[in-house]
Amino acid sequence: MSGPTAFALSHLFTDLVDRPVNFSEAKTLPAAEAKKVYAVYETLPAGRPIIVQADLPFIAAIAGLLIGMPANIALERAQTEPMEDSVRDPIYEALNICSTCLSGDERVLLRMMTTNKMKILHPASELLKKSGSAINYKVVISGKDCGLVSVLGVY
Amino acid sequence: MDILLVDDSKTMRQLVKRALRQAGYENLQIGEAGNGAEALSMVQAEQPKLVLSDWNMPEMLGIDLLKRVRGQNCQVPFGFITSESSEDIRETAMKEGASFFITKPFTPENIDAALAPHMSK
Repeated sequence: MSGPTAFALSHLFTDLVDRPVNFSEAKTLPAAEAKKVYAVYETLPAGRPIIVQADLPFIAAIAGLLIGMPANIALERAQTEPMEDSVRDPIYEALNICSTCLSGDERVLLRMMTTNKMKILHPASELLKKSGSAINYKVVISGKDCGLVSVLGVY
Repeated sequence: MDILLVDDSKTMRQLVKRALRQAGYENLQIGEAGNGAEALSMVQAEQPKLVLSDWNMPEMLGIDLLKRVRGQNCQVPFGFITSESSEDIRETAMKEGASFFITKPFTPENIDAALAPHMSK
């Protein structure tokens, strides 16, 4: 079993928002980190955790495209605590749909979404401690750099 | 009512409605339910011509909604639109009497291909 490919992720998000979304594997990570959204998934029947860690500018831009809201406003609303429902719901849906390309044969269910990684419980929390379990992707939407998405799992 | 959309996500209901319009179903009367219980009472009261439901919803799964609808001897065309993509889930849906199964993300073309045998524009 292998992790999702950049091609599969690009295809999925491009279909979702009807704009060119390009994922490419990142070998080096930027020094400055953006605020992140963490989506925790569980494969069935194995019960294996997978985490998608998405930079807020990326996932807010996706949410904005889904509901017709400019990216800067979606980002502003996504940064509130608690996150505004108007962007929380489309972000959750985008991450829910992302489950379709995270594992080849297994069923994958989105179990939680949070901006606070301290809320992620064992066994998924173990993935955050192992940098080697992450596949990192740079994401560009319609030619604009929107940050990083990392997929953490035991593939 | 022509189509009853069942999804706990308001965003997803809006996206499906937009895709329906883009697919040419803009003149249909579309009702919305945010959960299975609400959908069940709307099926009884409004008698939609087609039900389009999510699979994973709190309180009542889409498959349980389908079973309850069929349990009332209601043969309304019932399709799923879901992020579930496994073959097992699809087979379960079809065995229980689903008319079609659309995997998210969907396009207006996917929607049209699934609905066309059951719905006129």
